[in-house]
Amino acid sequence: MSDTTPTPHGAALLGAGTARRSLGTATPATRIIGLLTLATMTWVVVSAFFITSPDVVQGDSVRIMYAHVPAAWVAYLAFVTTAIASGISVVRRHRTLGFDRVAGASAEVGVLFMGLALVTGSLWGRLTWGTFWQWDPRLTTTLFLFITYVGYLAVRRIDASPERRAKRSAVLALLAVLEIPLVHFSVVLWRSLHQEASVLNPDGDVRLDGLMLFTLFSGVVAFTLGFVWLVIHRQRLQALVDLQGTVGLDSAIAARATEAVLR
Amino acid sequence: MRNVFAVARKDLVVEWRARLLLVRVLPFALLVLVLFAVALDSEALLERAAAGLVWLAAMFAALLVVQRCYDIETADGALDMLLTSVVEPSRVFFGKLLAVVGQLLVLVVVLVGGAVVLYGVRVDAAGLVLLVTTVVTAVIGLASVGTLYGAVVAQLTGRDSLLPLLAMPVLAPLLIGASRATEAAFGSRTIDLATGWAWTALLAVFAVVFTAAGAASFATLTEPDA
Amino acid sequence: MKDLGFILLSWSVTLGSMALLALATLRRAKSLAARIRRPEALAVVAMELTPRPDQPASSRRRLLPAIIAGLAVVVGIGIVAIFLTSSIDYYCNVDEIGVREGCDDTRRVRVQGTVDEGSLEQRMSTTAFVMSFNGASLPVEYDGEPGGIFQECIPVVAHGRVVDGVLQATRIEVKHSNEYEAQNKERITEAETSACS
Repeated sequence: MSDTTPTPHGAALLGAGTARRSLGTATPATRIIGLLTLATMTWVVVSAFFITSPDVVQGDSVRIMYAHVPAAWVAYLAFVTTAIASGISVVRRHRTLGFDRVAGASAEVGVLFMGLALVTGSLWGRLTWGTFWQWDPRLTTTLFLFITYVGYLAVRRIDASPERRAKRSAVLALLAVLEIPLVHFSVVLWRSLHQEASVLNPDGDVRLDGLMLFTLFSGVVAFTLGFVWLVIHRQRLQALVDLQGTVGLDSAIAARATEAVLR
Repeated sequence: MRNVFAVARKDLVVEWRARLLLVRVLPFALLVLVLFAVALDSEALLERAAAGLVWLAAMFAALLVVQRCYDIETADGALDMLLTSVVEPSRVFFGKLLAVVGQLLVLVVVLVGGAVVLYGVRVDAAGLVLLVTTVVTAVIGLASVGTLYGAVVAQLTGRDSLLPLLAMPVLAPLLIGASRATEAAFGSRTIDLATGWAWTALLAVFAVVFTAAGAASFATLTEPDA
Repeated sequence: MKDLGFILLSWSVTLGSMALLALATLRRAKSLAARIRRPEALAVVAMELTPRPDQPASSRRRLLPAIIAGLAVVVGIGIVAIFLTSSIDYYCNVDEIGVREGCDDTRRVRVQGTVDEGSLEQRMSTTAFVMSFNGASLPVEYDGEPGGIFQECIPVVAHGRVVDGVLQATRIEVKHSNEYEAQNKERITEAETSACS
């Protein structure tokens, strides 16, 4: 049964059935996404450094924005993805753990991007506000959000059965995602040192020059593509890890059985 | 409702027989208060920080109480037994919540007493009413978050370090609210009573939200793996 | 280019860590796949990922409490947010000093206002300027050189205590607006002629 009709997904996972072997988690689709990511990212870097002009007030430090804003946006996107995947895995009673794996992979990538948003924001803050860190509402709530998801990942790393891991972490993810609106609107709600959003603000008007806006927008596209690529690969990696456990157990049982027969 | 009380009574009886709260948690919480006093080493600073320190000590101690409340269940698969009886999981949650609230009330009352003795705070009649309300609402909030996140990490290895990591970011608003309201109730008067009452309203919302979330998710958290 | 170090650091940390995670994922997957590639394993994968039909009876009972809890939490957060707007703002505006609750001039405050044009003065190590907001103004003295993009006509937040009508600042932060404009000849001259408009 195994070598006649393997599912396309399973085949892709192991690199069997395709012309090139030893591919690990790559498929034609992810390769296209990867190339698109590289292309858009190159354009963003070139435009951010060489084409766009410095801001009237902030000068060159505005070039950090093209990394900071997309990183923060992708982190939100990742955490919302985690929550949606977790919600589905709780409500549906599939035996497959696919949704749980997507949730975990997305949170991993989200934590990376949230960390990047914090680091780049801190450097930008030093240049514009004159301070690396300040206990203001936006920064504090963002830090709590980051810690919350570090905790979520810690729960996922615990050595429990995949089903138990899935249930516990799904509840966590559904609680944690509720912090996001609080973080995003903390700038509007409390007065904050952090500026209000320039694009997604309540008034609905965009406060960016044309080329600056386009560069920022392509940054969001590039980072989102990178996010998709990373999540797909990490999700499949997790599947391989789970699979390794099963295969390892099977072969161990087989080996012991042979021993018993021989004895 | 009877089931809720039965679960709570069971927890409290187990607790009373072991007297863990008395011999371990309470001394720990008081020790935290004393250590803060030694570390800050300034009367004026202590009087201003008293409210925050009380609640910080309460939070640390509460995590111990919650841990204990699940350890007695998971020891001999007792939680599985509890769930195989026909009791609704949400009622088990409310029962455990009630038991934790009871223990934490004792704890916080002792801590406030400690602050009066050690930090020299004064409470007048109007402040006392606010103080009692704050303590009750904040303890319910603290207990509901603790009971919910305690269930998340129950039976997992390394839960002792996981629970603080998960619960503390969530408890941050509660810590702020309870500290401000208690500050208003204590004599220091950096915050007036009306603002203190407003913070108590926030604490009440917090308690309701997390009690609802806990009751809704307790079934998912405790059901045996398929 | 000014501040090149910080800008380069931001970008290299961002791109570097993304690339690192990608490469680590690929390498780990490759080695794992090499270890598992056996026909039996394929069968396991096929089994693992086949969707199973739902069990509707249990899913509906699960959905209702989840929806109720979700609604409760959303409403709760809304109430908290609305409530908090009135209470713990990061700063007071200049015109609210001594007027608004929590902005009393007797204690440490954080004051927001725009640096008046032509008011900036350097006396020895002290920076003095006047900041205004909504018609009210307040002189500020700060011991040292404010960092960041501090200049005239920029909104700032000053931390400190009001002594004899002068804010003795211990810290100055620049609160730049969310408007971005490309620098070019035309705009620079325009900005210089009508600076504080």
